[in-house]
Amino acid sequence: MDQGLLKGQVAVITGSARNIGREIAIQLAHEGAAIVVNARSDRAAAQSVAREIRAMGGQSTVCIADVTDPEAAGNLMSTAENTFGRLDILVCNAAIRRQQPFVDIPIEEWQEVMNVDLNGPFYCLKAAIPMMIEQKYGRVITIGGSTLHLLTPNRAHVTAAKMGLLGLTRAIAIEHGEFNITANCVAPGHIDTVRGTSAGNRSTGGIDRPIERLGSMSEVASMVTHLCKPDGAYITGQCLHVNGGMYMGGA
Amino acid sequence: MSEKKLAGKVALVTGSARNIGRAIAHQLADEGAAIVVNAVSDQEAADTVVSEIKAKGGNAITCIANVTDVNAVDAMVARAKEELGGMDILVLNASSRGQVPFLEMTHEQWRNVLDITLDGAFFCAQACLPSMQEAGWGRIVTLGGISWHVGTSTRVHNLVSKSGLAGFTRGLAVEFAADGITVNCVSPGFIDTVRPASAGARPNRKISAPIDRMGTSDEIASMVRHLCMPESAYITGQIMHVNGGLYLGGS
Repeated sequence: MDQGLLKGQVAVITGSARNIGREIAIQLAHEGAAIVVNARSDRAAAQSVAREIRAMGGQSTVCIADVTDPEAAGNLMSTAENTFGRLDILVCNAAIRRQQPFVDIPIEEWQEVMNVDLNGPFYCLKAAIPMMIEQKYGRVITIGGSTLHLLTPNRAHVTAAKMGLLGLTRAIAIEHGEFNITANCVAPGHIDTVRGTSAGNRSTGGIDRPIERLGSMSEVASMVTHLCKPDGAYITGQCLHVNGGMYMGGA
Repeated sequence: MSEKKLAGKVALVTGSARNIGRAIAHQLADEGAAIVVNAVSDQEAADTVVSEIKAKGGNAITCIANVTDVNAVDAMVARAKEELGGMDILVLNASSRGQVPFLEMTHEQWRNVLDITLDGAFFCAQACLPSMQEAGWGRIVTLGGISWHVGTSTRVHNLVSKSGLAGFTRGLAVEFAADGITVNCVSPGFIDTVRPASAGARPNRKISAPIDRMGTSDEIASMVRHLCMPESAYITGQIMHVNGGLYLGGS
């Protein structure tokens, strides 16, 4: 029944060569969207996602781009337009995490996190929103995190960047509703991903999860997919938590 | 592509003879759930919804029951289990709205709103949860409202009952997570429904939403449906706002 609700649409998912981004790419492709798979450098991994999508009858292309480079971010959005003719969905998923007591955070590390987690989405949106305004249609989804809600220690930069990303999401929502553009944040809890070593240990924050297991990547992706569907048109400016009840939102 | 994901499930939607409740009944039926269409008194309207669902090839029964009457609720749930074979999804939608300046509000008016929204939820959840526990799977979705988030005048009883319902939602979410039962609240903004005279005029707030139209019942129902799906098993204790950005949540 759900088949093809996104048929004819085009989606860019930053950081979609693996983990949650990859799962989002595949779910949106299942709904019929053409997918631009993006990675900063791992072309082989990105190509394998694109192949997987084509193998299931979908359309996909790869664009290697570092979102911290404004020109590359712009190029990533034009790849959608040049290859598939438009850009309907932008999922700002690419992010890095670091773990460091506040006093030990080097300036470079702060800037690195800000660049990937906050400036990157800004550069992507700067290029994407004018295209969406032109089409009078767009869906923006940013991927938040539980860190800023749970007061996780040793992540001042990640907390600040993700909080900023939520603010950016809301600002996009407020300014572009009239163009039929929605912007929402999906905030995952502890998800069973393959973590880069730089991410450090999974923090528990000393908080019990009502649902004790880790969440799956597809459980996060399915909320993203829901927001992209036509029925998601009246949801905007929200932060939607998929976290096993670990944090229940500020209501 | 997808099988009907709620095939074999039984859903009770309180107050489902019209408006949002009716749209929820329809959408859950579209996913394959058998539906208990409930109304406090309007048998004809409820029967119409049942006929519509059956005409689409679904399964539904009408249960006239006042949710403030514990015996009526118990009888309704017993009948559902007997005739439809279980009780897996409970949507607490029935409520009453009125508009009365606080100093003119009678205790009876106050009680009436609390009885329907809170006591009704209490009776229904107590009647339905044992079956869900037994099955190791369950979904409860409560319908919130925007009034208590933004503050609306002359609706103290409504604000109190809906904020109480949010606490009810979270309390159950934590207590029943281990049983595979999720409990969430969907909070609608201004929705284009047919309002009974008792609801009073729609509050004409000065806030303008980023999406400058009323939402549809289907836009609310699709979020309820999403929360009932197997892939939403990791979402619990949350308030999901579907309001065109009128209120952006406490994040």
